[in-house]
Amino acid sequence: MADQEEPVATSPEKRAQLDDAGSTALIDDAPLVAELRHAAADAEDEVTGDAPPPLGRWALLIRRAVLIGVLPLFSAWYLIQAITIQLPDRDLLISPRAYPTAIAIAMLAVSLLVSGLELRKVLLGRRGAAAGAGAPTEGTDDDDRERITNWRDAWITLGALVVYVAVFSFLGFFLATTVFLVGVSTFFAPRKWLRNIIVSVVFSILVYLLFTELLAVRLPAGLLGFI
Amino acid sequence: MDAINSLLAAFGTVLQPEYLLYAFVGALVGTAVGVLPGLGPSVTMALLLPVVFALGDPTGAIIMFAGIFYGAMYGGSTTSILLSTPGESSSVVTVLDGYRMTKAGRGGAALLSSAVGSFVAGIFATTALVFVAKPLGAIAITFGPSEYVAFAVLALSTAAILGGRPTKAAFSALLGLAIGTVGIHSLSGVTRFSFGVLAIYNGIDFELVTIGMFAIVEVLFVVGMYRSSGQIHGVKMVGKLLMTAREWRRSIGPWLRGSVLGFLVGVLPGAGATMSSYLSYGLERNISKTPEKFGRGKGMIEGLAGPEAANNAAAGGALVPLLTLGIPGSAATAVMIGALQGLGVKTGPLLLRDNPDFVWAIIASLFIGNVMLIILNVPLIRIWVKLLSVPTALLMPMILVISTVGVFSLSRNTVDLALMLLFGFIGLVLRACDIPLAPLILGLVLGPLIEEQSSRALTVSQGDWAVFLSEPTAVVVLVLAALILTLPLWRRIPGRIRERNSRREVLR
Repeated sequence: MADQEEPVATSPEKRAQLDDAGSTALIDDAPLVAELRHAAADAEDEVTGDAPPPLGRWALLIRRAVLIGVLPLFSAWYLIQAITIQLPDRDLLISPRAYPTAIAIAMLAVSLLVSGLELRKVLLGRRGAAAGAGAPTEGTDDDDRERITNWRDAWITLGALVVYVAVFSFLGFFLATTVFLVGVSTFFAPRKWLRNIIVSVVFSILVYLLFTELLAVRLPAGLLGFI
Repeated sequence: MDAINSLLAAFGTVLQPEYLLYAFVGALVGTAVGVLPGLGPSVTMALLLPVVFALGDPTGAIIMFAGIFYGAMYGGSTTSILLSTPGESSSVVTVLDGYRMTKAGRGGAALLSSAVGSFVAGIFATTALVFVAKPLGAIAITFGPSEYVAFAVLALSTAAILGGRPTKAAFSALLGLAIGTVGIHSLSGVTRFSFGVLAIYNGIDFELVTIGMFAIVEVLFVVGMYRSSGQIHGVKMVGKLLMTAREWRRSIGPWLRGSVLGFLVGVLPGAGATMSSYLSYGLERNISKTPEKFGRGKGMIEGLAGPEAANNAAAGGALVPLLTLGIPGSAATAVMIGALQGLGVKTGPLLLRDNPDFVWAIIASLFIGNVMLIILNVPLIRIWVKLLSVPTALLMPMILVISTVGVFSLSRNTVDLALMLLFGFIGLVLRACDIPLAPLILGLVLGPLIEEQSSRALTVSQGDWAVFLSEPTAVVVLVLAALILTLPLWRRIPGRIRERNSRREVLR
């Protein structure tokens, strides 16, 4: 089933690009999208020089580090933790170590397999590049996968979420949420700042009412607690 | 007929306005989210967990989840056909012929064929469930712990093999099992892997892993692709929602074949809607007189009607292992079972014996959900498509807010929020390395079950490990699991030989 006979662009991202190219009537954020696309293209050129690779350099590095190194190391660490679980004084038919140890061994074996496969791919790719032949390069078999094209955006969004969670109790639900929503949406759609602010305020109020009135969940009032 | 009587009684429960409302909300929310790119049924259910726990009613919860389950699939097909942006993996094949039909001006016919096919399949699968649930439940009760462990292992192996990256998926499943070991070991009272963090002495909450790894990671992926893909705009011609007599005739066969195939595939623990839709597409193409026309030119309605029926029937089939064994076969059913356990329902083989009213209410609600969806969706298709114009820049942070508030409302402590972020981060890195996350969730749900049941088996056998091979059913299921797990190796061998031969030729 996996091997379809013809390449069909099934990832939403790719399709969206095709659609955009094909359709003339873009509404709403059209100029913005175009502008952002140029900006993104420029940024990518700075990093790589000419043709952008399927994966960014950092993304590729992290991917290899995780697959080759981090997964086996984590599995080994988990195994050590499992076999050193403190046992109670009394005799047990089934040790609390048994089940985690079994998982740990299986996980270590599978992670070494993953690591080996990735390592082989890296080495084959390098040898192919040295020979100048059309050897399999990174990402060729992953073309149907969704790929993050702009890691900066993803990290910034995650960072904003971390800050949001950190100030959630102190600022209170309403303030924290409104600031978070306005911030992130305006980061992605700066020209629509007014719309972003209005929608963010309305949404925060709606969620607050939904949780406190309908679901009886108390959300932190924070700095607005005096009201 | 015993089953029919029980079912009729259950309709009495489900047709209460309150439950109809839950079904309606589920169908509505499910379809809406299914239309939005990137958000599938498991994400939706995870986000709705706090709402469901606040309602506190297991019957209502599962009725709503059933609506979401089917609704998300309707929504996913709608966008597959009209925009070629599948919302779910199960409607990816729908793009092949559905979008071509839209471009050829037959979008309305494609939508109708998909909707009627889903309806037919949903009703078929639910009817099959009515007749299969009781006999299978009766068999399931005779299963001992060793069979139970075998089925759980089968579910995990099947899930690992499906994504096309078996080793990575296997790692993911094992990692899920490992996360499931955190907390107090019930048999000995020993605390494992807690590192002195009080909040996880009772284990890591399933909900926050799900929300972190599904909802948050999904949002990060969407924003990470936002600037290169932008907003999806412009709906192609829908045309009238009508099929010609010929199109009806061509659709009926695939609907029925897809329904049967989908149900059978769905029953297998671990295999689900996506696999069944691919299989149905392959089947229709193979038996067609003109297989070369599939996915070409104006598109073949058979290539759309079959998979659309199959994925809905599979969703019904997946409820068989869920209700009779308590073993989820997919991320979505894993979330369902997590929710039920959170609400205090004892899932497992005894569910049907001890709580038959609950099971029949679920089955009745599936009928209601199906009828509701077809009434709701056919006239509303244009409105659903409008949903795509909600700006991504606003929608994505909103989902993050709902995730955060959801986790906060479940536990009310900040450690859980930090864990949610941690799992979001881990999930992001894993998914960027093409490690699928659905097996992890499945492992997390099945892990405690496997440990508990295998401890029980070993206690009975006084520590003799041969107990796992003492029951014929368990042996058969374990062998099946082993075969499935080694499937990629089997497939690779002929390829290897061919490769070696061709290399030899090159050397010559």
